[in-house]
Parts: sequence; C-alpha cells; structure tokens
Amino acid sequence: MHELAVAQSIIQTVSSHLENKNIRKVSRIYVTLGVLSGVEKGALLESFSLMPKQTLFHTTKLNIKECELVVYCDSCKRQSTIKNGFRLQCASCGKRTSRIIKGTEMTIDRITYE
Amino acid sequence: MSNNPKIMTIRTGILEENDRRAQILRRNFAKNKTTVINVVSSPGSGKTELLTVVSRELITKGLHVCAIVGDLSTDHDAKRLASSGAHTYQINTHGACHLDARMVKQGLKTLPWRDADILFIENVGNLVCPASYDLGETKRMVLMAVTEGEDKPLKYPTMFHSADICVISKIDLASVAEFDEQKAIQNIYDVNPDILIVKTSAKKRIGIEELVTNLLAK
Repeated sequence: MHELAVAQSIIQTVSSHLENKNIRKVSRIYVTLGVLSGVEKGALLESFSLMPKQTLFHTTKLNIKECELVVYCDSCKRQSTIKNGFRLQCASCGKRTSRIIKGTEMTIDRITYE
Repeated sequence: MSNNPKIMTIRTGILEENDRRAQILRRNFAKNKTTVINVVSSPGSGKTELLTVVSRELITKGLHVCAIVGDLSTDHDAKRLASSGAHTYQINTHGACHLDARMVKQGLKTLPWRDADILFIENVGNLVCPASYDLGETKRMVLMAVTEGEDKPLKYPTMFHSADICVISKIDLASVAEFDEQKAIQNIYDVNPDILIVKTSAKKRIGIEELVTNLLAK
C-alpha cells in the first residue's frame, strides 16, 4: 500500500509548482492513473483524504481520471485496448506486443485554485 | 476576491521528485561504470539467498560487489549477504513498503560503491509498491519462486512489466511444487514480451553462471 506515499508526492509536487505564486487555496487537483500504474484509485482517494494537509490544501479535492491500457501492433499497424487483464496482445491478430501507447500514466495534469 | 477558480496546467509525473533524484543517481552510476540491479519480489522468493550466491560468484571472478538491503526491520538479510564478501548496508524503512531514490542515496554514503563493479539493491519484499519507484538502476530483476505458482505475473502485471530480467527461483523444487513451467513462462511473456527469463536454484547452483553473464551484459 504505497498510495499514502503517492498522495504525499501529489501534494509535494503541486506545492513545488506553486512557489512564489499568489494562491489562497487549491480547489482541485486533476490526476491521471493508467491501469498499469500500480496505483489503486480507491486507495489513493482514501489516502489523500486522510492526509494531514497544510492550509493551501485543506479543502482540496482529488479528481482521478483512469486510463485504459492501449497497445500498438507492429504487424497489423493497429491500436487495441486491452479489456480483460493485462496480457499485452493485439486484439486483431493475437500477437504479443510490448508497444504500450497508454495505460502506464501517473501524472498530475492541472489544478484549479483561488 | 473572485470565487471563480482559476486553472493552472501542470503536466508532470506524480513522482517527479523521485524520478529526478533517480536520474542523478543513474548518471553517477554510469560515470562510475557501476552496474546497478534493483531486485524485487514478494517476501520469501529467495532474493537474499540468490544474491549471496551470485555475489560470491562475482567476487571469485575478481569483481567488487556492494549491496543495499531494504527491509521494514532487522538487519538479518544484510548480514547474510555480507557472508559472500560483499559490502552491505541495511536500510530499515520502518513500515514503508518500498525503497525510494532518496533512501538509496543515503545508503550510498556509507558504502564504498565507487569501487564496485556491481551494486545490488535488494528492495523490500513486495510486488506492488516498489514498481513505481525508479532507483536509478541499470536493470530491474524480479524473482518468482516455483512455490508461488504460475500466475504471479498476471496478478502483479505492473511489476513484471517494469522488469528487465525475470528469475524463476527455487527451480529445484519445481516438481514437488507441481510447477507448470510452460504456463509460467507464457504468463511472464504475456505481460512483458521483452523480458529475459533465467531459471535458478541458489541451493543447487543452477543457472547462476547464466544469470551472472546476463547481469554483466551491457
């Protein structure tokens, strides 16, 4: 369960981007988690809400966008979304592929603030 | 004062700070020509035993070996690994489920790592949390013991996907554990088609030479 450490990193990373800016409070933080990021949405929301936060983040809400796993097949020249599980196979020809287009994200996209 | 929230685009990795630290470590390791292996697995897969045998083999070849060992508590593993002749340093995470780049940097301070040809970082036994944390390693090696069953890669895809080498350990116990090797290998390749698989037994000295060659390969 490293979601507490991830929640802490979200606050730290956002804080470092807010230095020397005139901000009263951060309203929302928008993050993206790929299904292969290894971070569980529910656990992260729970961790984020439990974390002691300084004034700027006292009422901050966390918005999590989950991102599906999408791979590219070199033979078919096609993208496919992996629906069940995490087997990296082309949906058309069934061949294995290591070319991941989406699904490993663990990013902070934007914030809203006052 | 307006109540309309303003928007600021950030677009950065959540673990930006750890990634930045890891990149600095990676540059220093490369400059020093030290190969660094981040070793991950669930508890009890045989990380310490394998690293002890592998370190002994490397030291016999005249190479210098250092190891950082991460555990929630105790220094048992660092002591076991030190019996190989490697310089070891134990990090106790006191509850944290993974090592991060800051802890590794701290550990390096007390190790003669600049003399080392190879540095092992034995991560905390855990197949989930260490996956997201770059430690500046050259290669990541994941272990799965035959006693753990064949479906570990499908249950912990993030970890197996992030590794460069997969060691199937305790291979001498395969028949007792009724381990289906073909199925296991298929599962590993399904979540990581580019991974290198090596079968080992630290106790019976199986696959050690092959593993050593692959660890040192550029």
